[in-house]
Amino acid sequence: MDYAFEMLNITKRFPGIIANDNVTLQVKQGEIHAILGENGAGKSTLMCVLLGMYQPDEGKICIGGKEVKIGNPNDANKYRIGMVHQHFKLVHNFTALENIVLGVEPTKHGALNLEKARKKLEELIGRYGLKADLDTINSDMTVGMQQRVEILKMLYRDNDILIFDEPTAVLTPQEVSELMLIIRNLVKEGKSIVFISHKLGEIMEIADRCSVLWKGKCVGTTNIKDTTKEALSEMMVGRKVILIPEKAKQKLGDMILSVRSLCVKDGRRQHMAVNNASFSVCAGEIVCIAGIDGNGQTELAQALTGLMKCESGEIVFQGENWEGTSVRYRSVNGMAHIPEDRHKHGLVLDYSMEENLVLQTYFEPRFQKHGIIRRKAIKDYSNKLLKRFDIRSGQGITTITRSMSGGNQQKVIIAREIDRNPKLLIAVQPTRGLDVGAIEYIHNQLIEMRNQGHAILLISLEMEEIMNISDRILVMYNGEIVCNLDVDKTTVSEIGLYMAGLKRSVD
Amino acid sequence: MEGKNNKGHFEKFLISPITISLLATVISVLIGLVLGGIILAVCNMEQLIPGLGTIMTGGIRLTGGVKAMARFCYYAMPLIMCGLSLGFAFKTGTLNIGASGQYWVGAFAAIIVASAGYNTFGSFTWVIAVLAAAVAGAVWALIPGILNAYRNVNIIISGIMMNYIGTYMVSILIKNVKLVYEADQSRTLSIPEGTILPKLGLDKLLPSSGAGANAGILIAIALGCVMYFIVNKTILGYELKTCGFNREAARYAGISEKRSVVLSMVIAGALAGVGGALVYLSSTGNRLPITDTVSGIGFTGIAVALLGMMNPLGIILAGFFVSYLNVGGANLQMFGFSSEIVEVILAVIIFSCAFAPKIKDGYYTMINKLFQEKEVEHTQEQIKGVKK
Amino acid sequence: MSVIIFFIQQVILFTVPLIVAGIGGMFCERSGIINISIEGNMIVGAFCGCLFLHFAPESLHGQFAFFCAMAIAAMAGLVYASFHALASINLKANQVISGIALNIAAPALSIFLARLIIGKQQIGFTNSFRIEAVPILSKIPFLGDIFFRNVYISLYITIGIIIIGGFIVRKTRFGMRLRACGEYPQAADTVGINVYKIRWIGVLTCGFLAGLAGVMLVVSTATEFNAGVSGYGFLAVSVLILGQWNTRGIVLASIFFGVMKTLSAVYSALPILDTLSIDAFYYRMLPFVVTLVVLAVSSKHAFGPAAAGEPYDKGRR
Repeated sequence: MDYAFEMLNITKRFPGIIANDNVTLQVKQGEIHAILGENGAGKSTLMCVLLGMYQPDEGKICIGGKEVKIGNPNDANKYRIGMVHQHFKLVHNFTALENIVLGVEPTKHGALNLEKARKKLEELIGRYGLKADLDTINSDMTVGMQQRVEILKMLYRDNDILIFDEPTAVLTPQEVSELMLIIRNLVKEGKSIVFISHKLGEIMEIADRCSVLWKGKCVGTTNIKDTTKEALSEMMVGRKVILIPEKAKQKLGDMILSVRSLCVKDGRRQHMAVNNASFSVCAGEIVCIAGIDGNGQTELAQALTGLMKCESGEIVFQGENWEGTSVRYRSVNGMAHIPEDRHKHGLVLDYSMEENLVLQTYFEPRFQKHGIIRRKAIKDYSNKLLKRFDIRSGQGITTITRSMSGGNQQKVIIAREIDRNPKLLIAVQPTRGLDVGAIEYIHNQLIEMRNQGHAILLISLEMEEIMNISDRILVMYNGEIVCNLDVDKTTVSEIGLYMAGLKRSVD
Repeated sequence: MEGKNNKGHFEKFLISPITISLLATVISVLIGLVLGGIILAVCNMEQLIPGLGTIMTGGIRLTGGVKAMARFCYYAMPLIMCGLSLGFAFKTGTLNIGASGQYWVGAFAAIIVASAGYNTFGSFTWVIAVLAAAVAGAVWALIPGILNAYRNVNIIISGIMMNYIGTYMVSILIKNVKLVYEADQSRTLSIPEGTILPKLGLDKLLPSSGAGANAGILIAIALGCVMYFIVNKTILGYELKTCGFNREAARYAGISEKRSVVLSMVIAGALAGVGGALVYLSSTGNRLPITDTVSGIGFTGIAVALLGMMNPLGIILAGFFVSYLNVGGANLQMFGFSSEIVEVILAVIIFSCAFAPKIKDGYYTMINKLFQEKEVEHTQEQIKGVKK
Repeated sequence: MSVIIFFIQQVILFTVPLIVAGIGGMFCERSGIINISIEGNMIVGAFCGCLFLHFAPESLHGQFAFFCAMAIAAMAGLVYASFHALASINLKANQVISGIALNIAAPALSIFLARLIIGKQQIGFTNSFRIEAVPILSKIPFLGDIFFRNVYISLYITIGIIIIGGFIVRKTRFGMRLRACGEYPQAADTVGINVYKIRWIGVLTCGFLAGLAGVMLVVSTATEFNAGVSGYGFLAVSVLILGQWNTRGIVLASIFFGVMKTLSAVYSALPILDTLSIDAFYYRMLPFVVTLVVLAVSSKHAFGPAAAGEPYDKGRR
């Protein structure tokens, strides 16, 4: 049996955590080997070890049966190992050509000679069908093209072992099919592929074998032919989890939010990120905006909360036109916001938990008098929230937020926003990067709120989440709302079509 | 899981931010002193001990104690004020490198008011003068603040520019305002005797020749306490700190970052300006010279702010400490060293403080690892239980 | 006419050190490290260079002595900058604070050591390096008067630095890696580039050039070094920002500042301005005010190297 490479008994520790715990991974020559695992399972760490970015504390790597030492990415390259990262490692103001040759630049008499590389790249582009424009600046490229640039990076270096880390996270369904084709082409030419993903559907479709990682350990390796999605899923989460929360049909209340013909410009690039969007949310329902990341959801959320200006259109909240109102005004008048990036927007990491819990309410009379903070009131309030939402931390409400885990940090934000009893809660990817237990908890909270008559606008990228807790689903594609569906009248594949722009139903 | 929230007192002490900051600060000071000592030793080994000794004892032994203490109260005033200015600015997210310029224009404003207003205000002139200095300093800081908030101009560069512009502008004004100009000496005239800061009996307690202890040091300490209160107990402080720690989160919370930057700078500028007033109102002998060299007090203030761990109360102590080093250093000439070595020591202390945050992070991580490992074990127990 | 030539010659004297320091700053900031201690580097370089000249024996021939002084100054600046590099790159310190500390230490050390070595803080030297006229070339009308009369060899060295510096950053392998480290060091790290090494080279180059600029400045404008370079280092940082971190911009911005600075120093020799009898301090203020105004107008869209100021941590993913 010919292995392309073997990672045997790899252990890698970081302060406070064992990222890889005695993991063994053996990838055969010419196979597509999937690595399945949740966030924090250790997939990325393992690959970083393979690439020489980290050194394992224990264990060894073998290529062709012989033990090798991979001390840095140059060594990995020597052994023909390359990786397309989840977050592309491309310099934003370099051209595709420059990005590809960075690190192995061809020179002539001391000066750069990029033309030499161009010839080779054009040949590669033709051979593998990787459409990419070599002279475009990276920041002007689509995500799909950027990914192809990353792949070309590997092929230019004659890599034979190609690792793809969550490659489909930001692709449209159309681009995903193209990628699958490219991967099959690569295998035909003799490459070995490692495919890291948490998307079972794709793994079942393309992989030959699959290894499952869970909390740093390797739980098992199976042939895809011999297993099922359910079995893999169970290995992935380590225990049986009831993923579908109970949800009763709810009677709708008043219209809380009405958005009409909203247009919002992209912050950087002057194109219309939100293009004539119109929809409404009523009390007692969870409306979800689905779509691939980058189709305007971010800008929509920011425009609704006041963080970004609109070009045109109306935002009407409980009958009142909110054009030109400030973030504070909207926050005080019934709109709560769980932001997309908890570290950037949602929390001040250097504050204690209690200071973060009053981030939206510190100015209210119950927490201050004549400008002086009422410490005791804040303390009591924070302890109340800590108990109610079961926020775990090292030192209680005085814990510095930076030292808390991601899930608990998110709980702080959720506690804060929910306890304010908003008329409308805008939650943007509220469960991103969290483990299954935390996800379940948050979903229950959202449904509870909906049952109590609040309105919720959920913006999410996870199909399962969308299908499980929404009442209505809107899909955003290229800044437009392309459909408005009731959850029990549609299917995942239908939504996928909308997300890919292959279908529209204007209403 | 209840037990986790009830940490032992010792563990709490280890983790408390104050302990860690204090540790980092003390280490920085020691590094500074050690390096200073090495340089002194290399230059003149025999005089090393007396030299280091005078620095560390603040010259108290040499000058008969009380006189040194008077000087050291006097020198502490501008250090505390500039330290407060910079510390407050740091904490609220801006870098007030322009403190030297604000100090200078504040001093000038105080002198003008003192000279021109004595007839009108009598013995209250000094109060008006100090207020004028605060306003002048605030205005001088307003410009870089607005430029940064509204035009995205790098606040460090604009601060440096304002330092030079301020120094030159004051020089021009001194020449052109006949009331204060002493032409043949290129400096300001003496302010009237009645306008200097009240001594409040401190001159009996700590007698000195020339400028010594007076109400100024009490004002500085009082302002330190006021700043502590503002930063930690008021919503203004909360808003400005939020902006300082995370601008994006401040926007999300509805706080206007532009307003915060400008407000921070204005307050910081006022503090630095008052520093100038306190010094130049301390004695009729203190004259503001016409010069093109920017005062170094703003940069020394950075050392004070760092040593004080950006905490107003800590800054008061740090101001005294740096003043102490300076007074001791002034005596170094007696041992054949020049007093600039104290500045070098301070520079080394600042340098060490630059990577104090990283040491602190490392310490936090180490401590948390001890606690987190317990959590990992616990979870694994749970998993094993479920699998069965 | 001779007034204009005189004026241009003076501008060149002021501009040349500014360009060198600015290009030094470009190397540093392009690699991702903020460096406001260019002032300190210049002082250290000037100190060492002038000290050398102070003690240089008479037998050491004119231009060669100057050349040696420049080499020593550059090396001194390089060594001094290594503190900043160590703190910013390896110890992940706050780069602004580190720079400030080095700025404070430099003049203090200069005074301290000068007093120790020669008994007073001003270091004097005989300035015999001005080239009256380069044979043949100085006869060229107008250009000859500007570039080949009353010049120092620092001018020619600087032209070389401009050309070589620009070439390195835009057209060599090192330059591309330098820029990558300043924009997105993770990308560079992934392809096996040693980000730390590149940044070290960037900072040390800055120290080297700033030290060089320091001695160039003092030699061409004075006969003694008095523990300071009157804010030049800070002007160099503004030139860098105004020049948008590239060679051409830096040269243009430096010329602009050189003109302003020269006006402030020589206005009394220019009959027109003398009659206006504007106080000398106004002229000295002018470069700083103009910088502020220009920055106010242009900073709205000026972005530097994207990763500048952020310490690079290999451990973070």
